[in-house]
Amino acid sequence: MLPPIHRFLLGCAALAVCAGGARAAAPDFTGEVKPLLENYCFKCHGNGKKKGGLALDTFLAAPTAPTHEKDWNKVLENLRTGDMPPDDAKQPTDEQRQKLMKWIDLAIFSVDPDHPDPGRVTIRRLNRAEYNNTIRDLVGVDIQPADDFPADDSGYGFDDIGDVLSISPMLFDRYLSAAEKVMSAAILNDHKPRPEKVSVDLLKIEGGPATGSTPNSRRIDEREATANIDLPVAGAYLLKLAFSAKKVGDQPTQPEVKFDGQALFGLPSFNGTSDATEELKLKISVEQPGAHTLTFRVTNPIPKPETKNGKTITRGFTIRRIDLISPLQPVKAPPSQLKLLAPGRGQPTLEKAARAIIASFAGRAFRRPVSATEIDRFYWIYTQAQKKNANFEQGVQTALTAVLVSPYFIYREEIQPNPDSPKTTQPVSEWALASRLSYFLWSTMPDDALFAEATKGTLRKNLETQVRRMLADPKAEALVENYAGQWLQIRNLTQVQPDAKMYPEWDKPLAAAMERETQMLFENVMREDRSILDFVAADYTFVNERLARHYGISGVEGEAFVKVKLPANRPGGILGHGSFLTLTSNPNRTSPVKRGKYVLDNLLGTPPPPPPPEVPDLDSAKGAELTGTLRQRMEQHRKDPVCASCHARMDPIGFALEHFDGVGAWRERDGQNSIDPAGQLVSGEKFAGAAELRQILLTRKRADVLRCAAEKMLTYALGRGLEYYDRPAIEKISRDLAANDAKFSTLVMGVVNSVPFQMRRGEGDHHQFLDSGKAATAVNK
Amino acid sequence: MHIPNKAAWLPRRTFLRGLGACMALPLLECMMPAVSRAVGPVGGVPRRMVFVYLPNGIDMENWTPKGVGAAFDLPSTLEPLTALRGDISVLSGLAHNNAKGLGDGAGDHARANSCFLTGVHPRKTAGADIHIGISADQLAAQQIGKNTRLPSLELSCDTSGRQAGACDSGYACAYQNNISWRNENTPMPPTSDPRLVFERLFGAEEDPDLAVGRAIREASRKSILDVVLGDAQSLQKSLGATDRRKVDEYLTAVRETEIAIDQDVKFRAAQPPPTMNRPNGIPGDFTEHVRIMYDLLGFALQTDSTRIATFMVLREGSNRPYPFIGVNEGHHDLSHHGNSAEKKAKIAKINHFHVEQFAGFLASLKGMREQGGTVLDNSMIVLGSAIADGNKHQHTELPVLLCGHGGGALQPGRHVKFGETPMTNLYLTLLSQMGVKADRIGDSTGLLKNV
Repeated sequence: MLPPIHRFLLGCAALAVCAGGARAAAPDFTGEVKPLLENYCFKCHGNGKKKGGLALDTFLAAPTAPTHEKDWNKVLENLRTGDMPPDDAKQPTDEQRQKLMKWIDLAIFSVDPDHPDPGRVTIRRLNRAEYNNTIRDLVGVDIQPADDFPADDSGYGFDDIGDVLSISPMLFDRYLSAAEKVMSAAILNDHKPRPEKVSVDLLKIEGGPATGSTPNSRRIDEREATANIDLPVAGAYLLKLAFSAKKVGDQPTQPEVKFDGQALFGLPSFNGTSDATEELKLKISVEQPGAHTLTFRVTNPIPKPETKNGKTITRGFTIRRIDLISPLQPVKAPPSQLKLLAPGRGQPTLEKAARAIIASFAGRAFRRPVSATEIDRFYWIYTQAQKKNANFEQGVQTALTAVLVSPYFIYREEIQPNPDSPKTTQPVSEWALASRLSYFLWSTMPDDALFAEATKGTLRKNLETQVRRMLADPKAEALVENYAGQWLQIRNLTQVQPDAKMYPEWDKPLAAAMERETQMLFENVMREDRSILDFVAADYTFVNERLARHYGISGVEGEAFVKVKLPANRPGGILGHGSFLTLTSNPNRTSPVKRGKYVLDNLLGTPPPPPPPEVPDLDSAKGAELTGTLRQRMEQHRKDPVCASCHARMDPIGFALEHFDGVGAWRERDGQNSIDPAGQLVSGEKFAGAAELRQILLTRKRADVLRCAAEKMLTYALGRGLEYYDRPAIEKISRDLAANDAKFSTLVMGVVNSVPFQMRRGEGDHHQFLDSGKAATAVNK
Repeated sequence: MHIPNKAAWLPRRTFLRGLGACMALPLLECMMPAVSRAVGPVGGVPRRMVFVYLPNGIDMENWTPKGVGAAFDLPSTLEPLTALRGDISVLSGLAHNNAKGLGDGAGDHARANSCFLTGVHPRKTAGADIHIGISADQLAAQQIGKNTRLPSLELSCDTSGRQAGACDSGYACAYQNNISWRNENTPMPPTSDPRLVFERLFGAEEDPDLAVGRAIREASRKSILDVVLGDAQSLQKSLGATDRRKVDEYLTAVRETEIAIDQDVKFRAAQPPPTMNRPNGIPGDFTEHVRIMYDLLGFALQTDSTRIATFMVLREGSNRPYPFIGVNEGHHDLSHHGNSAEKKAKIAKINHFHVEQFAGFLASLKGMREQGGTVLDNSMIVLGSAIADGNKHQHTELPVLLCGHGGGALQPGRHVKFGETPMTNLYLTLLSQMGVKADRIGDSTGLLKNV
């Protein structure tokens, strides 16, 4: 296993010279590097040529000028992946390649693995998923209040990036009402009996017209439609209905509502010429609690409906809303109340009780010990409420509401001395580390065990034990949902809309099954601590009946997912997943470009350069419409030199998968055209189809796959984009993966033990950090 | 559901009588357009300013009238506006040069979205250092927003908020998700759930049977804000520069919430119109979604809940298909039409759909009587995009409609052609009509004459 980071950190403390100091020497530019560039690069990127906009010879006057950093970074990436020089050009030896890369690392970026720059993470506010989960674990009510917050912006592919998570006045307003809502659900502040409200989910009404239902509207016609409801108690209920309808033909629309088969009186008929919504309140008597039915229909349908402009005119109405209000019921304090108020029990005075409750809650909410002054401030809110005749519970509710609105709850701050000094690097505190861990693996606050370690200052010492415990916990499902959901983009499956004519089999259950399949592959690798190469290699997958049918697998029945061996025609891992194949298609055809780009972006970590800003007008430039198969047309596109170099990276990968249509089903032919899945990667490897492509990813491209997995997970775990000075951390995680069968836990431990995860430096950039020379490093807790 | 015209503001239909006490009858006065009576609009009839954004450019062949001046024709895409011909102007020749690459390479969609109301070239970053400028609507909201209960309203029908993965070519998603920016770094995210918009306009649902301790809660808000403001200030003292800036967002938001609480006292929340039910979430049907958002926007203007609004119907790069009008391809894919006549015809269909919805909105404003005419008479509404031809990501010769009479400030009913002129000159002109002091916005060079 890995040497634990704390040993390294202790070493730093002893030496107190982490930043600056003696560094490895870069190879000499004029003597060693320049000849290599001239020999292998200038044919396309020098002497007047500037393919892809890159002319390296123009750098020679001042090769290390900061203005060239971005270009050198690209050169470095291409050298590493072997994409450059291209396979039809003269190749440097491995040693020469390493020398060039070392020079770029040291001379351009001053990246020195012995003196790592941990970078700094911008203060992060909780995103929506984190907010919901934190409230659930902190307060003990699972009401998902953040579903009403505006959507979080994302950056670098993830929605937990501090720099882009902003707070608008509107979001703050939502924080305030969410906190109030949470606290009134968590603590009852009186013991008055109160009614319960049962709202009917309009999407779950059965029968009647089959289409056009939304959460807001359910169409009803003469066919009876039924809502099954579960009522908590017997007694007199208030039934609140909102219907909209109008007069159709010569008669008003006459709705009928039955409760347990008995028609209700007092329903209006709709006689208006345009749709109008009416709210009705009816009294119903419920004999016993439990299952009941409401049925709806129109009593006067049009005898012979006529069809106008392709639409059949029917007489019907739309249900907008159904609520049932129960009779008053005695109330019992919810479990959240017992838990939140427990610290106050046994205190001699109400003041002491309130303070104890606030102290305990704020400490957990702020994920660190709270000071006496802080408790005073929230206690002051309690006293203000008391002045307005609030009772004890109301006062506490108000103070705890304030805790939930406080920036110390909303943000995860990581306090360090000298925050504005780029020279100061130091380990994050054990409290901050506990939060980094729990938000990374669980998308929620630390639990009692993590807090206990942080309190004792033993978290770093027991890091691996804690991480393994956390990965085994059900809360690690959040890593599947939020990390895998974004890395593999399967969250987007709810948004895709394949063409219904082209793909009549597409529907929501199929989309959901595809999302679940990919989640389960990830979860399986995580729970069984398998090799992360399974994401590409797995010859097994998880299907329910619906998805099995889609893939042509027989013998799977029902909704439940089972592990099956893949059919021979489907490549392993997510390359054969319906999720990936659908997400990367256009609504009515496959997109080899998008498939290729996805693989380059998310599996290989070698994204193609973006397209030129002004896409040339291909058709008119050629003067003729492109013809032939999709592949032939794309190959004609690729003749354009502006497009060729990037599309040569993406398209062949996509064409290897052309036997899978726009929703991931197998096809022999693309319409009339036969399919040719053979191709060649830009780095030279040839393949006959998807199976061989997969094999190349697992062998020749194995290092890229491991490295990409490390980059993606580190980005998500840190909540910031990676910088060139993170390269040593990435290299180290990749090396450990290669040496440990690429186990999932090796990846997670590699991320957790990495310098950027364990440490932070003050404000400033990498160059200022380097300028710090032999500056002492503070190691404070 | 559509905004009722004048005829619908009549007493309730007679069939309700039989229901007696079963029905919750709205108060009679709420059935009238409820221009906030508590405090009248400052300086007589209020002027409103609204910006509506359409993504992925427009098929300009079916958009730009051939005739100029008052004798202009309505090409097929603008045909739904026939009845409103006297209330709209087509403006040609406006440009957003800062949406161009200017050496930053690809990313025209992200730039178009973020440049549209700011006129500023966004800094290319995947997140670390977002930088753009204040948008025209927020400039107005910050100066005159205090005259209404809500300083501004931001709407969208884009539901790809959970979209995973990277956004346009190295630009942070914030650029693509927002057209409204309160300053260089902080977007004003739009709301796409009609229920949440409804609650903002008319107040959250408060079931009187279930509400407990509301009075104490409301009274405590001020002391809560006092304390958390103090928290944020003390937090800032221990942070580095970037983090301090981040927490500034929080501080500003708290201060604005304090103001909003005062505004709530000064201007009571408008009553929801009797014809509209509290929406229950995002409708599955896209047309219904667009319509309900326009309805809510119309109510917001009619009730003078706000005078400044933005509606990004969809964000740039939206790849939504429109199967209900026979377009099964994704919009963005289509927009790179490669001069295919078939694809262009489908783009025109999508454009026509959006203009049709917009026309419905204008018509409803025209049906809302108020002092000095109708709401449309007193509004200045811009419909446009920062991309003209989507195939080439062209940022000049933009499609722009300027609608309403602006309380006499505008002379609609014309096709006005400009030589290449910054779009922001139009905004500067509208801002001055709104009584907003601004020397420039983005790349503006002066006022736009002849609108």
